[in-house]
Amino acid sequence: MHTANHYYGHAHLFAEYVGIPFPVMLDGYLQHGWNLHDGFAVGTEFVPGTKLFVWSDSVLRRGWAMGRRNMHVIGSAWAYLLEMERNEPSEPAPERAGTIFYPFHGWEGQEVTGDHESMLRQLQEVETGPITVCLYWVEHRNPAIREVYERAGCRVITHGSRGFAYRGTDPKFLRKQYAELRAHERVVSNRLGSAILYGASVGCEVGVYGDPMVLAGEDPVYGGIERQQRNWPELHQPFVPRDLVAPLADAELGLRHVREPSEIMDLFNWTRPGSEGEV
Amino acid sequence: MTTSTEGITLLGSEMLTWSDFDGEVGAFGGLLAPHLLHAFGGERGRVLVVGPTAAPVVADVAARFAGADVLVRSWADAQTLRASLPEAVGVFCGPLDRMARTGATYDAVVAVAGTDRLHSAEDETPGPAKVLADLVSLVSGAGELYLGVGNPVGVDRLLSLAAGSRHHDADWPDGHLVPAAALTVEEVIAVLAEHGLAPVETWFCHGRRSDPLAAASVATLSAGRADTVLLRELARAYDVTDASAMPLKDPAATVHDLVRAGLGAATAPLAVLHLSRTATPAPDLSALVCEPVHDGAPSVAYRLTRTGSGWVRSLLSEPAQFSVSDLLSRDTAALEGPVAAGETIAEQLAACCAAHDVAAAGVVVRRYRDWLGSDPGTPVPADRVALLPRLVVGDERLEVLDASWTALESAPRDVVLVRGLLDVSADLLARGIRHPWSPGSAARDLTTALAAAAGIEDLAPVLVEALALDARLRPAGTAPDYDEPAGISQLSHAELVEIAEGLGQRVSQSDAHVVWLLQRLQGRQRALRQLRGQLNAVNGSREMRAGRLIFFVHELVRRRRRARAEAADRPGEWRDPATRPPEPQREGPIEIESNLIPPAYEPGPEIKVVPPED
Repeated sequence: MHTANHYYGHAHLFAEYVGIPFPVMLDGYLQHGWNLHDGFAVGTEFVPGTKLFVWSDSVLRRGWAMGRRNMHVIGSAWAYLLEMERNEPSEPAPERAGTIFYPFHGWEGQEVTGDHESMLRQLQEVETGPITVCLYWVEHRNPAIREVYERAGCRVITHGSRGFAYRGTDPKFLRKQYAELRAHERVVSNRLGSAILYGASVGCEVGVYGDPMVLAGEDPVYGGIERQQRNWPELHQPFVPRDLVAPLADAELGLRHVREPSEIMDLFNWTRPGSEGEV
Repeated sequence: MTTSTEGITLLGSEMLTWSDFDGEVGAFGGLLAPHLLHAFGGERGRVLVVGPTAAPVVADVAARFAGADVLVRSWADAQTLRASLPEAVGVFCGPLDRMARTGATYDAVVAVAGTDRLHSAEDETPGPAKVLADLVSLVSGAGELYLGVGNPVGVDRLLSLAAGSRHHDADWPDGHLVPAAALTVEEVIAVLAEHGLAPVETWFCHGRRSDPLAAASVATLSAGRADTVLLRELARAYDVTDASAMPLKDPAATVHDLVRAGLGAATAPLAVLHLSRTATPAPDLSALVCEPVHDGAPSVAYRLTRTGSGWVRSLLSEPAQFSVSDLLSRDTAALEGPVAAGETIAEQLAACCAAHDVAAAGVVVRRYRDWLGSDPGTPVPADRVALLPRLVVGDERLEVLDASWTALESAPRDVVLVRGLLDVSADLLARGIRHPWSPGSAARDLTTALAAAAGIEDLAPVLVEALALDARLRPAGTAPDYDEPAGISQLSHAELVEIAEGLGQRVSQSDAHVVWLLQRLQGRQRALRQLRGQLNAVNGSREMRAGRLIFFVHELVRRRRRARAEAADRPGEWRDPATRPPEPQREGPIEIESNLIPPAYEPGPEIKVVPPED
């Protein structure tokens, strides 16, 4: 099982969806974030013949053109969370208020360089309600970044740790994000990313603006922020019309590709504890 | 929309890790391209070339207009074009629908690379009607459109001529021009008619889709179903195929049959349509042909026009003279003029071989021999030395199909004949034509058989001279390996089945030979057993025992005498080594009695057959 399958508690969420206890090993590679590549990090070494589980048709097409085969479009883990919430809501829908802002984040191996002060100023110019700033856990540990927003009266949170090498994953990461997004009127980021799509999928108004910041050593295969701006120029504005972003969110998160639990069990090569097929 | 540092305008949804130029089909180009795009009739303001098109073609089109742009979906291809084209030519990268959204219009839009490579994997591919509408939206009010329509049931796809597998990387799900979604040429014309565009010319192109070597109108193809000249040129368009591919069947033979069946247009890999809002249709009964590179010579393009007395060939470029090797030159001016109709010697030989009719092949070979000269040693005039594949068999005499090739020296008749047979045999094997000889035969084996049919008994010295002549007639290092067994990879499934059956029969025959041999050995074995029995009987007889006793006593006496002689120190007796009996020669010829040779087995030179003892 590839360590990225655990990120953001994705594998936990799938286990919850099919109703088996964690930990379970997942037979394949699971896309863990929205990107403009083949759904996986550049340089991921795939074991030949192993299944690749991707979110959307666009990733399937792009991956196919890159020579990837054995790809299965199953939708994002987020789509399964929405499916579970639709069937059995964990809590009543809260009153929406204010804006939640997700600054473009790096990860443990790549830092993001950008001016949070100027970003804050733009937020204050555009947003009218209270602002929640959700930092990636690496940036959340950095008091200097936190203070920029806290000084301005923003609520600063993190959804938890992504995890690495099968350790430290916050299994409730997506559920926390779901709760926060549903509690805000708007979701804003300085780059189009998973959080924007997640927010759009749960009814948030969307804004994409501000200093897009720079990821250290970003692979040119992603095309950079310019590629995102070329592909979706209409989505790069403070107030994105809902009819523009909603179809993209549905498509890129693969909402229509949600599989039955039995299909997930079969695809992931999972077995129920106590069943005859248990390994 | 942004402009890169290289000066490429990026529209979004570009394919960053993809290249059509390096892909299965490749960039549209080739010598025929400028002649397919020959009739721009409207304003010459701005032109847009859409799709993966080779830089020389883009440059050629751009030179005919005041301004030009080119659009490709691949970033790598855009960079290639940017590096090759003049700065005045704008290079755009992205899918067609994003180009259409810019609102730009052009006096001419050239999309001859097809409509199935205009959208990227980033977005869902629009349906064919939307693609056509986007193309038309780029054409100005009085503008014109050159459109390539790829054929999902073209010869190239039917026979898997490209090296790519069926599921090529270009066939991403829901993104490829699949047969179910593709429009026929007639449907494309109908859709474009709704946008006010009417066809001026329609060329059905044969050969590789990205580099067609023959093009003809549907009328020409319909009228030429039994026309040897047209059939030959269309078949020749498939001479140049990907050597790494394994076609299901010889494409030349297949397209020959398809055209004969009236399917020449329906199975053309590409149709190039010229459409305009103002021009009138141009009736045409001609064909455009570009010779595949042959004998290392530069390719030549020409137009074939049908007249009352047959086809007339006219060059599409200036005549040129050049040497191909130190013994072969070409003057393309000789191509101009009437074209002899009928089958060539090579075609007739191939037909005879395919029919396993060796007798008929002999007639053809002897006819060629007689045309070369009546005497084996008579020098053949230089202009006839290299003509075997280019001779047409007429009713009365052989006619030269292509007189542009000339050898610079004459050569003996039989040498010229055998060299020609080598050439034809190699071509026959390369194309996977079946023949009556062993499936593993090399061109040299076929030549040997055909030369015998021409009456050449002592082939070895002639063959040496013919090979030397052949090497001089070709560019250095390009002579085929005439000893290489037939190219099995070129054979069709049916032909491979036939070979397998043939080999099975040979194996059965070999089994029969082994049984036959064992039967013979069984007879020998019986004789040996009988002999051993006799020996045993003799060994046990009273006479034998008495004889052994006598010999024992005699040996005893001999040893005593020798011991006494050695004690007296007498020198030993000297013997001349030359008088010793010869050692058996294991490397020499095998001597075998004729009754031990298996039926139908032809002993080679290493086996000497001797009469049986009895």
